[in-house]
Amino acid sequence: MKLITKTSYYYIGFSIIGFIIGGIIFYHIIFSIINSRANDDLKTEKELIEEQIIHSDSIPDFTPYFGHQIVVTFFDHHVIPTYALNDTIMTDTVSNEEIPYRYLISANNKKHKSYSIEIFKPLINTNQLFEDIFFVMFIMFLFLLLSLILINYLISRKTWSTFYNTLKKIKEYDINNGEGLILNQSNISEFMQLNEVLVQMSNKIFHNYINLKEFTENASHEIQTPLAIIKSKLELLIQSLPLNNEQMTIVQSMYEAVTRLSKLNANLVLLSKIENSQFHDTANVNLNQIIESVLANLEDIIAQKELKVSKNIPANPVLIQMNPTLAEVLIINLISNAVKHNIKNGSIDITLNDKMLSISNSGLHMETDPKSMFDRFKKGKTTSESLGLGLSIVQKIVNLYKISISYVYESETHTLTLMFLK
Amino acid sequence: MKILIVEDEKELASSITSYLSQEKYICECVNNFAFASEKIDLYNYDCLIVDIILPDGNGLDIIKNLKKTKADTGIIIISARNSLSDKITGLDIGADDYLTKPFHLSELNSRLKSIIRRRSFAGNNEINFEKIKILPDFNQVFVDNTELVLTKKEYDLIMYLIINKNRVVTKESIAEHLWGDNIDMVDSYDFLYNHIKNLRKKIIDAGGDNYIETVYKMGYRLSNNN
Repeated sequence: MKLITKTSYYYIGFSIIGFIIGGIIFYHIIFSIINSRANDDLKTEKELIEEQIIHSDSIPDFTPYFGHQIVVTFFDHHVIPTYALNDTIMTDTVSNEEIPYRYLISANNKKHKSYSIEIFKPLINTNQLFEDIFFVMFIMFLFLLLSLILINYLISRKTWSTFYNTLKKIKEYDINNGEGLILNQSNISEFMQLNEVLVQMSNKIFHNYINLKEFTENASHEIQTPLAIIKSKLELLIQSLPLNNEQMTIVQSMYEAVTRLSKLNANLVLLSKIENSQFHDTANVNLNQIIESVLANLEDIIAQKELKVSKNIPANPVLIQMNPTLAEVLIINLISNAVKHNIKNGSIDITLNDKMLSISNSGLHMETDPKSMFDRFKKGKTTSESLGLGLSIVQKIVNLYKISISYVYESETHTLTLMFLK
Repeated sequence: MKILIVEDEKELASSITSYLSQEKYICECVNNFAFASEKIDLYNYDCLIVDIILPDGNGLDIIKNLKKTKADTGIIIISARNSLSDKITGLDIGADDYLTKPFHLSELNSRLKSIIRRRSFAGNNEINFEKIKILPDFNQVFVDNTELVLTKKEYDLIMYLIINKNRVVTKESIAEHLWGDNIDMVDSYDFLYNHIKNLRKKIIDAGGDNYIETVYKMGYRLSNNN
C-alpha cells in the first residue's frame, strides 16, 4: 500500500468518526433550538391572545396555517388556573398520518373573565429534520474529504519527492558500476539523515564488496600457484622412472588429490564470482548451438554408455539474454549431469523452446533428499567422487537471470526443467 | 628452438624448464618484468611463456612490447586468473594461447608444439613416431602408409600422446585435453580406457606395434620399448 493511500485511509477513517460525533451533537443542538423556539412561539401567541381577550372580548384573528389550531373557550364560572406545555401526537384526518404536536393549555380568570386557551402547533417532523441535517453534513463531509485528500496528495508529493527519488536510485543501484550510492540533497532533515545513512552504508558495502572481490581473485591466484607447482613437480616425478608400483600408487594418489583440489578451487571461485555478479556482460546466447556443441563433445561418452539421446529442439535458434560463459557452464553442467547419473542403455531427452529447457534422463532413485540436491557438496551417492558442486552452480546461474528451475522424479526418470520467465 | 619463460614462481619455472628441456628446447627463465623486457630486446625467441601477474609489472605489457618488435614470436599466457576478460585481452593483443594454472605440463607442451608447428612449417607438417605418421593440417594419421580411420577424440588422443612421446601422460591430463576442464566427469577415465583400447587395436591392425604402454595407475606412455 502506498503511503499516500495509507494516510488517505486514516484521513477518511478519522473524518468519518469526527463527522458522526459532530453530526450527533449538531442534531441535538438544532433540535433543542427548534424546541425552544416553538415554546417561545406558543408563549408569545398565548400572551397576545390573553391581552386581546382582556381588553376587547374578541378573539384575535390569527391566520391559521396548516395544522395550527387555536381554541379559546369562555366560562361562566370561575376556573382553576392551569398552565401546561406538552407534546402530543394527533392523526391527521386527511392523510391519516400521525403528526407530532406541541400544545399549550392555559386557563385563567382575569378581569371577571374566565377562559381557557388551547394552542396546537405542529412540530417539524424530526425524521425530516434529521435527514436534512444528515444530507447537509454529508455534502460538507464529502467536500472536506475531497479537499483533504487533494491537499494530502499535493503535500506528500512535494515533501516525499526526495524520498521517492532516493528509492528510485536505490532500486537502480548496481554495485558493479564501480561507485557508491549518490543521492540528491534535501532540506527535510529526516530525509537528509536517511540519505546520509544510506550513502554511508552503500559506501561500506561497496568497499566490502571490492575487498571480497579482490580476496576471491587473490585467493584463487594464491592457491592456484602452489597447486601448479605441486602438480608440475609430481608430473616430473612420474617421468623420473623407474618407480615401483607402490611408489607409483602413492604418486598417483597425490596427483589425483591435487587435480581434484584445483578443480574444487576453480569451481568455488566460479560460484563466488557468480554470487558477486561478476558476470554482468550479457549477450543474446544461442542455446541450440551450445546444446549441440556440448552433445558433440560428449558424443563418445554417450555412445559408450549406449544412451539414447532424443532432442526436441526447434529449427529456429532459441535466444536468451545472459552471459555467454555462464550459459555454457549451465548447459555443460546440466547435460553432463544427465550423462553421469544415467544407467547403461538409458536415455536422455532434451526439450527446448522459447519458454523452457527440460533435460530428463533415466536413472535410479536418489539416495539423498531432492530438496537438498542444489546444496553445495551434496552428492547423489555418498561414495561418489564427484565434487557435488555442479547443481549448485546451475542454481546460482539461474538465480542470476529470470529463470526458474524445478526437479521431478517420475517413472525412473529425473527431469530438470528451466522456465525462462520473461 | 629457444623459449623464454617469464614466471615469478621459481619452482614452477624450473618444472617447465625441466619438462621442456627434454624436448631439446633451449629454455631460459626470468622471474620479473624488467629482466623479461631486457631479454626480449636482446635476443630472439621462438616462443614466450609468460605469467600475467609479475612482481614488478604486468605480463600483458611484455606481450604488447614484443608484438611491436618481433611479431612472429609465439606466445602462451599462463595465469592463475581464470577470468574471461583476461583471456580475451590476452588473445586480443596477440597471445596465441591461454592456460590457467594449475595446468598439466603435458598440456603446456602440446599447446607449445601446436603454436610452433603453425608458425614454422605452414602447411608442410609431418609428425613421425616409429611407423606412425601424422599430417596435422589434414587431420590424417597413417601407420605404415595405411590411413587410420579415427574418431575426433581418437585423433586428439594419438596427437597428444605423440607430442608427449616417451613421457608418462596422466589420465587426468588426457581427460582434460579431450573433454575440456569444465566437465566434471568422474568416470571419464573408463571412457579413456576404451579409447586407448580402440586406438591400440587400430594401430596394431594397420601393422604397427603396441606403442601405447599403460603406466601402472598413472596413465599412458607412447614408446617403442616393447
